[in-house]
Parts: sequence; C-alpha cells; structure tokens
Amino acid sequence: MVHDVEEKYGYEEDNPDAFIFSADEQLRFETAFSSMGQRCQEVLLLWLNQYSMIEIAQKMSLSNDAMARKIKFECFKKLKELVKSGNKTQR
Amino acid sequence: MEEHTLPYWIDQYLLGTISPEDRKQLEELMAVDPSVAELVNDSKEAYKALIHARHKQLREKLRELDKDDMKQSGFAPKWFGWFAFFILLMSLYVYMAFFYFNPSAIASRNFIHPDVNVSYPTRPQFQETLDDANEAFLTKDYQTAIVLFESLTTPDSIQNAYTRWHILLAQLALEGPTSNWKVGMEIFSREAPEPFASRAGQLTTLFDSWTYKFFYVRMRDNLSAIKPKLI
Repeated sequence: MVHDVEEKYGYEEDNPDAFIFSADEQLRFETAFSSMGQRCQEVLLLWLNQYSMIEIAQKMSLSNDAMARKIKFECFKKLKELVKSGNKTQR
Repeated sequence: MEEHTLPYWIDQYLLGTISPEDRKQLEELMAVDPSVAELVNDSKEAYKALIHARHKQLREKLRELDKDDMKQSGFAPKWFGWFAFFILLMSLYVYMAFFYFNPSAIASRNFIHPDVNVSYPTRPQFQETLDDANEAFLTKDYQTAIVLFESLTTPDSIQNAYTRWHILLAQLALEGPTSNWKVGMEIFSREAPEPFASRAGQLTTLFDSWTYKFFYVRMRDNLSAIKPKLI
C-alpha cells in the first residue's frame, strides 16, 4: 500500500496569509534573491524544499554534507544581508 | 552538541521541524537577548524571500507544463485563430476582386436594358433581332450577340450607340481589354450620346487603374503560372 508523503511546513507556512506578499515585498525579495549566484539560489531552494545536507551535496556534486552545510550557511547569510539592505534602501 | 547551536535551531525553526523543547528554548533566548531576536527576524525575512522565489519557480514550471500540454493537444494559441481568419478574409476579398474585375463580369454589369434607354424603331423584325441579341448577350453567347447587334444598323443615333456599346462589351468579354478595343472604346466615348459616353469613359478609366492591374492582371498571370503546376 502506498502512503502519501506527509508534508512538512515552515515556521508560518501553515498560515497562508503569512505568505501573501505585497508588491513592495515581492520586488524586494526578488531583487535580493536574483542578486545571488546561481549556485547559492540552487542550494537555498533545495534546503527550503527540505532536502538533507547529504542530498544537497549529492545533487550539487559537493565533496560532503559539511561542505553543503557551509555553502548553505554562507548563502543564507548573504541573502539576509541583501534583504536587509533592500529594507534600508526602501526606507 | 554541535548540531544544537543557534543557527541549527533557527534553521529548524524556519523549516518547521524544530522540536517543541528546542522551540521553547529559542523563544526564551529571543525574549532575553535582543540580538538573537534580531537574528531570527532577519532569518525570517530571508526565508520569506526564499518562499517567494520558490513560488515564482513553481509558477514558471506550471506555465511550462501548460505550454507542453497545449503543444501536445495541438491547441493553437488565440492569435492564430484571428490570423487564420484575417488570411481567409483577405483571400476571399482578393478572390472576389478577381471576379469583380473579370472582363466578362464587367461586360455583364454594363449591359443596358433596352426598356430604359432605347427607343426602338417600329419594325417588328428589328425588335425581334434586338431581343435575340440581348438574350444572346445575357446568356453570354457573345459571338452570336456581336453578329446580331451588327445587323441592327439604323439611322437612329441612340439605337446605333446602343448596339455599338453592346458589341464593344461583347468583344471585351471575349478578348479582354485589348489595345484595339481600347482605341474603339475611346472613339466611342467621344462620339456616343449619353449615357453611353460617360459609361465608356468609366470603363476606359477602370482598365487603366491600379486596382484592375493588381487584382486582375497580376492575379490572372499568377494563377496561370500556378495552373500547370497544380495539374
């Protein structure tokens, strides 16, 4: 018998209203995300889709999961900075 | 334990996979340490940017799937229908124009009914021949019409113009606007009474117009070039 995979949701994703973004937010997020390199975008989207670090390492042809974790950490840090700087520019 | 560091908690918190105990600890930490609260808030904002990027990626994938479906089902886009309709309309227009400018059609359109414009001589034989000539013309038996009209010479100038007009029209239907025909029509337009003179003028102008040259002469040449290939 085949069971459906149980879906997991992020910190607020069980509340869809939390992810209805205003036009300003959309523009800010899009600018920040598109400012990152292709590899960073790919790692972060895989992480968001709840891939394990081992799976990310395999998909991205990285040496091991530690390397994947490190790249994800650096990319997410960069994204935080870009979103934050976008916030400041808007204000 | 290395995994239970602050970045690990924040990751788990954002992904919704944090255990209730860890979540409680993280929230307590946020309440006492504003720098932790700020870090979590910045992470939430970045996470939102990621969610937005994922939504966009999904939308694009769905669009691609839609496009593939449309290709597979052979569904043509909306503009194609309008384009096809436009081409059909244009073809119909050109086709109709081709037949509108056909010399035989022009001759038929310019036939003048004898009841309106012509006073007949009283001879019954003359009337009979005239009726036969008109009938031959209307049934597109132009050769016979020419012979019959030519036999109807009278001293009456209007009657003569009437027969001459229809002889010229019958010649037009048979051979098209040849140079001899054009000369004959020009002379006729100068000499004939109204309404024949003005009608003759209109006809000579028509055959010199670009619409006639474009819709009939060019199309006829193109069609005659295609015909052997089609056969």
